[in-house]
Amino acid sequence: MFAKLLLIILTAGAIAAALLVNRQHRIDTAHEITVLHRRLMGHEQTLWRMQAEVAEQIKPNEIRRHIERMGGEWVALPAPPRKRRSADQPDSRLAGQPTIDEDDEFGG
Amino acid sequence: MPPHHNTQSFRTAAWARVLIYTIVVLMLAQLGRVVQLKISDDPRLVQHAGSSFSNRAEPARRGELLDRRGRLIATSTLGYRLFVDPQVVSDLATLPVELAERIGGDPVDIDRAILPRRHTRYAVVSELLEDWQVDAIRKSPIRGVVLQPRLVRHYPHGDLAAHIVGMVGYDHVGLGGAEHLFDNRLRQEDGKLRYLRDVRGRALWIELDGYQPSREGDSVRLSIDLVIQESVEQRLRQAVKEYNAGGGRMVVLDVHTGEILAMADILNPREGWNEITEDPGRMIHPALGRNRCATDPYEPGSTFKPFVWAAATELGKAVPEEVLPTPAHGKHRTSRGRFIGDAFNYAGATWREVLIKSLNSGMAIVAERMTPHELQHAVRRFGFGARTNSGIPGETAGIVTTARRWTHHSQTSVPMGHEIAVTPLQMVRAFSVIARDGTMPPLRITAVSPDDDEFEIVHRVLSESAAMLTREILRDVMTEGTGRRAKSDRYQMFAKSGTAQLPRREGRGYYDNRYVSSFIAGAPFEEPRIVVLCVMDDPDAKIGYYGGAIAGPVVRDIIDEALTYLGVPPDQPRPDRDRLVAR
Repeated sequence: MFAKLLLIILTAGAIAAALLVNRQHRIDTAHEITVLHRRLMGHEQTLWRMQAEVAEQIKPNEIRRHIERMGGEWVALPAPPRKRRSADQPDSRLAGQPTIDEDDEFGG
Repeated sequence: MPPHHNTQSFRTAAWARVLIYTIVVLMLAQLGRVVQLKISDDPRLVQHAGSSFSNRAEPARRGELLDRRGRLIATSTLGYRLFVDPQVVSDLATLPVELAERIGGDPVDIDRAILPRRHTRYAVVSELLEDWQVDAIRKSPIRGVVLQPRLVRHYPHGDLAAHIVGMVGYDHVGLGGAEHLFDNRLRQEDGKLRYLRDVRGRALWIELDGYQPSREGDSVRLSIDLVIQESVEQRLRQAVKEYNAGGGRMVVLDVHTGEILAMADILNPREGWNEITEDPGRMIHPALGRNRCATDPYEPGSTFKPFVWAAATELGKAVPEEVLPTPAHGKHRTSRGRFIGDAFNYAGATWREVLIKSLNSGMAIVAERMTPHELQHAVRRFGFGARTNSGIPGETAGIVTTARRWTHHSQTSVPMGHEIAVTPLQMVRAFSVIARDGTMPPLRITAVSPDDDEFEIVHRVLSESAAMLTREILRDVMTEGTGRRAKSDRYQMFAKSGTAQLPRREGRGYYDNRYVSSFIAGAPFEEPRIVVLCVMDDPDAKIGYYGGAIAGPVVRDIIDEALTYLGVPPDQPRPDRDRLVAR
């Protein structure tokens, strides 16, 4: 009887200890996630700042001046015209319809 | 087995049972207490322990403003505001000195910031700390002194295009320009964070249901090209200074897409001019001023002639080689007895020469052949008297005389660009009709995406042949007319100059010797890519005031520079065209 009870208590204790360890792992993991999250946010904010600093350092016309000072040649990157597909308005007379009130104040 | 042995083992078993039962009862009692504490907190314990959770806002970034090639125009970073909670600070008397040791500055100033708010829990000491000040506070914190994160808007290019970009206010909301126009797209949503903290206030873990992620604002790509914009601002500023003008305005338009590539507006604080054009917002900050390219109409003068010329030609009121009775000397007398003079007399000029030589008399002669309705319709068709709907805040429609008030005077004034006021945006859009195939694109302040496959409805204003004919005549303006001083060595331009008198501030009549000089041009000739307009407000007439002479060279320089930058090959048939364009 005693041995059985002892076994039950030990088993319960072992289960409780395992649960406790498991719970502690969960807490540790959650804490790690929190720390990582905050670190991530910190890095992101550093990135924002660096992005702004880089933009300040590479103003296009300053780069051009540097190139000219060094005797290099400023070569344009061709930007081909973006022709949009367009459709004429079918009745050209509609294009000139007044869009303002005739009674508006006008004058030379 | 002896009897005392049985008794002993019985006793042992009994004690063991008692012990086990006791342990079980104690464990159950403990479990019950835990459950009880979990279900309902003891107020005494809660008071002692305090709240173990903290709430924190997770700042998100406002969307970025980019130029058409993706360069950063405006972005946000995280900065820190320093505030003091006077209710928590142990010694308010020594705090200013302690703070001054860490972040610098005068302890008296710090004291002045805290003292009036000593009964509150929020006294701001510094709106924005520098990095070393943040580090100093973090390294040796003071109880009751708090670093509060806040967003800071950066404009890496300073005041470049400030009137287009605008700025944000204290609470990071757009106040003007694109910041205001696209505020809904740019606006961010801060996240929320609820976390369990330890006794020192450090974050232990974030509650599963206590995290609401932040959402960054969307970025907006403007149609502005920073390289062209900077060139335009520099060149215009130089011209305004050279001619001591009251101000200058310039717009560069991509005629294919209707994108505004650059737009500059400079005011030169000068006695006699500031009284005419007041801009109190600009005195506070350049980004808070009006964008006069969209808001302030001006009398276009002769730059308006091509539109009436094209419409009259299309209606068959005159043909290019028709000889008109322009006077050899003196002024032309209209059918109603109005006298109209030219800068230089050209007897018997052809309709073509009327535009090239910018003859007011010739324009009046042909305008009288048009009915008022035909002329009004032509003016409206080119988009004058209506907003361009570019979206630029404060845009106006210009001033066009209504049909009801239209007189014979209007019929002969409007064709030479008088009795009408237009905005620079309206002008470049209307001129793009001549640069295109006779259609008018909608203006855009945002860039067209390379994968944008949408159809757009454009207005046909002129027939293709009328647009091409007008363009050819305007090309001759550069060789035979008022554009000779602005001729480019690299690109064949088609252009028109204008020199209009400056209207009096009180609204009646004009100043005798004050002008608005302008020049508008497109290039290259065969496949036009850009249209550029320069308006010089009230240049010093003693130095120069003809549009072709003072605004023309500015337009030419920008056309040369912008087209070279865009990689458009030169089309000017001259051997010396390949000189290096580096200004």
